[in-house]
Amino acid sequence: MTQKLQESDIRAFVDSVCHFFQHSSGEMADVRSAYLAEPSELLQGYDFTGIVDVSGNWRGALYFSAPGAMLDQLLRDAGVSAEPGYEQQLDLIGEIANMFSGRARKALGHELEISVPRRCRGVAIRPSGVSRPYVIPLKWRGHAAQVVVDLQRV
Amino acid sequence: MKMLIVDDSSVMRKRIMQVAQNKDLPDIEIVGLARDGVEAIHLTRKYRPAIVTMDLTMPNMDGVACIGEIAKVSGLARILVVSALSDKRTALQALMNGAHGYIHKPFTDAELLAGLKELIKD
Repeated sequence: MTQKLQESDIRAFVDSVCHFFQHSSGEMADVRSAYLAEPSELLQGYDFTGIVDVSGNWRGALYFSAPGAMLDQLLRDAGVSAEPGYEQQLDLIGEIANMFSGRARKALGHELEISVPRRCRGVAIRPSGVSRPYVIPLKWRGHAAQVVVDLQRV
Repeated sequence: MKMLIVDDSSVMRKRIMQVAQNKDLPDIEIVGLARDGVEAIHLTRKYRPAIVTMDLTMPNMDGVACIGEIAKVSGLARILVVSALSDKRTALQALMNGAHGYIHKPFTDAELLAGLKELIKD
């Protein structure tokens, strides 16, 4: 028996996204209204996707998909690299997905157990098909990206 | 002062290393970079670091378990958790296992610097 996500649950993820960009770059991201995708709809991702699998009292996954140019900008801002490369972009996409889910856990409770992030290049997101996932589109410094929250409470 | 950085993200390891080499901190020698808890324990046995920064969500052995092991291996090591997990229960677990401080990701350079200074001060 699973329960759908509530609007307040989605708010926790939106807050995580806002906090990340504000805190790491000093600039707010333009986070658009979250919308529901179809359960089996293949969602087009950007250049890189970080995936955090969720267990405990929850099932599903969180995806963060972003273009390489956005990751390059974040890496430069952090002073990590003037010329970021593929390995650093791949590393960062997983780390950001980890930060989004780690902060959401503060609001949703420690029963939301999160995995070590998986990192992929150029992946289309196929939700679990159990329920309709939420898509949270965002823009930061002109770069579009998206968070997909495909979770159910059990 | 010997320091070990434990994080499964190479980007995070590099950022922490850059902040640790800030001129406002006393001479810090980074003796190791570990990608998980197992590597961290190996490097702790080998180098006996005085300070350790510790991620929590890592493969092979997570940070909370690793903190307990490091406390057994090298009781004098002072451990600063640097993690994306920001719930109170996880922080308490880490502190009960032997951590001395806790910083949430994403962090600013100033926040990490302050955390390291606090760790060294004690």
